[in-house]
Amino acid sequence: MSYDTTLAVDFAEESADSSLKKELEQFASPVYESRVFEPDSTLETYVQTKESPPFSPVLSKTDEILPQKINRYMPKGAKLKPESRFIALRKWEGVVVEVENDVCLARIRDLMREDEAEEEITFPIDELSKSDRPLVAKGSLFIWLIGYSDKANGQRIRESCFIFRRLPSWKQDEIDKIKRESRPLADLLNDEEKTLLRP
Amino acid sequence: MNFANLEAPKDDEIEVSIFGPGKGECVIAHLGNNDWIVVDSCVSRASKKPIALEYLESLGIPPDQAVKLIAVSHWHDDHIKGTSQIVRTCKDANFVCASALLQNEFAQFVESYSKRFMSQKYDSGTNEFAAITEQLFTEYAGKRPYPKRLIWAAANKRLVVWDGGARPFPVELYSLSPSDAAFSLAIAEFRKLMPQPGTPKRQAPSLSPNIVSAAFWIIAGNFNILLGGDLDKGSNRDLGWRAVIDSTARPSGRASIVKAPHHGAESGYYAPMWQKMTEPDAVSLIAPFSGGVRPLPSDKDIARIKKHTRKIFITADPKGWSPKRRDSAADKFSSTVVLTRRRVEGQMGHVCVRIPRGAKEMQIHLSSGSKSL
Repeated sequence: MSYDTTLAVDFAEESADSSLKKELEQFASPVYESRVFEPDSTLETYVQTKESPPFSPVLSKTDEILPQKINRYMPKGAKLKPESRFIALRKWEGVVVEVENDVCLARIRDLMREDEAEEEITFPIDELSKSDRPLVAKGSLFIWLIGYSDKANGQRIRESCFIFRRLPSWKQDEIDKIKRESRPLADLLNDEEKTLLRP
Repeated sequence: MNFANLEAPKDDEIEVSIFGPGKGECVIAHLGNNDWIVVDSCVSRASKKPIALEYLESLGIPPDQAVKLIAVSHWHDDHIKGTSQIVRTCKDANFVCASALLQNEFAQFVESYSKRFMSQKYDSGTNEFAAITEQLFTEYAGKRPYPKRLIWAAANKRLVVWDGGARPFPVELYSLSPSDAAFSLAIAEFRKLMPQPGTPKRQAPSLSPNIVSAAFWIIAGNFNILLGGDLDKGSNRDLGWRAVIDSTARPSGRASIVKAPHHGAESGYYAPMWQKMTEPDAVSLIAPFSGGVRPLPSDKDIARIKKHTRKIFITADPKGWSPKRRDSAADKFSSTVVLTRRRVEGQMGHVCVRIPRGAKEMQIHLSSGSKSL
């Protein structure tokens, strides 16, 4: 549904085109856009190519124009050609609440209609791709898409797709900084105590 | 929201109101003399305001003058949402929370998980607690001596006494928990829950079982009110309700109004609490929790409480609501993919208990989907 642009970024690096490299790196970033859609907004489409690697969590309307950008830096004869495209009818963001007996309980929020109330769903882990299954844990984030997949041969198939976020990892220096800088509420009381005890 | 067309209670009238939309709860109590307390908070989906503020305004009462105390039983999102706004609005009100939440370990936990989670749509309560902390630090900044706004809740601690003057009756407010053992254990648990290098930045984990919740006891004239928070039964006699019951220092008497602990769930049920601390047929108030693996309270949970009282009132149906159907093709297809799907928040329900001075019977007002069980 989207491109892992790592390959293209590598090519851009080789060609020393820093502005394009920057642009492509944006797409390679694990942060996706969670935009608000008006109820009548046009449907979102995603293009899938035969050569594209497994789904990355990058989801953006700009995915449609990426093949052209990427192709400029692909070796001759290895150009990406759209094979199928995905039209999202519904799109939710979810967080895993509980995993029990290969069933996932998750809270979801409608990304196309932000006024919708929070929902909870349960789904079997079998619904996930093999590469996403190790990512399932309490507190993991994912996107759930339902829509039509238009194949290259003209066939239209209804599809559901769970895509788990590759979340960044905690770094030691970040944890150390938190420990240094966090201020407990008790400080307010302790400081007061110090003030009162001062001769 | 329609609050059963209620008018403001009279100065000598006691009121205990509970609100709950299915996920979240708020208790607001009038303790005479236009003095109100707010325990826990949830937000109205329509107005996006804390329901406590919306309710007081609907009665024509300015919250900044009327609310004298704001308490959070614990930091979970279903109990704390909107509290920072109440703290900001009601600047003269005391803020009460469990002692463990004031310590360095919890501050580090909150700092780790608020704002750093990749989605701001989901708050396990850490963002809201961070907002409260920020507010208190901001208003305390540079002031010497600090205003006495912050109060620690701990086992058997008398938090405030209101007496004298024009008051129609004296009021005392106690915290019954967390116990000293729960405090130590919670500190150790918060240390364990701190993120580890190399692990993904997931949503904040929760502390389970809930040993750190504060429960409150209110003495208002001749009436006692027990607000059970989410306090767990306790795995040993030093924790949870077992510690409360075993304590010889807790206030005596029996409550005629009870906010059932932990949404009426089995984990918060301890028979001696009902037998020793509540009157037979005490008015029992429940705000359900429609999220989670098992929505609370279950039929079994209700049957268990019914052994102690026939007067149970709930703010909403615990089983949740069906999702709105917007796109038939997508919705039908989604039901073939997921095993279950439900909305966990519906209309805000309200149960209002009023005790006019000298009245023998309590008046119960039900509105917006709340019902008697």
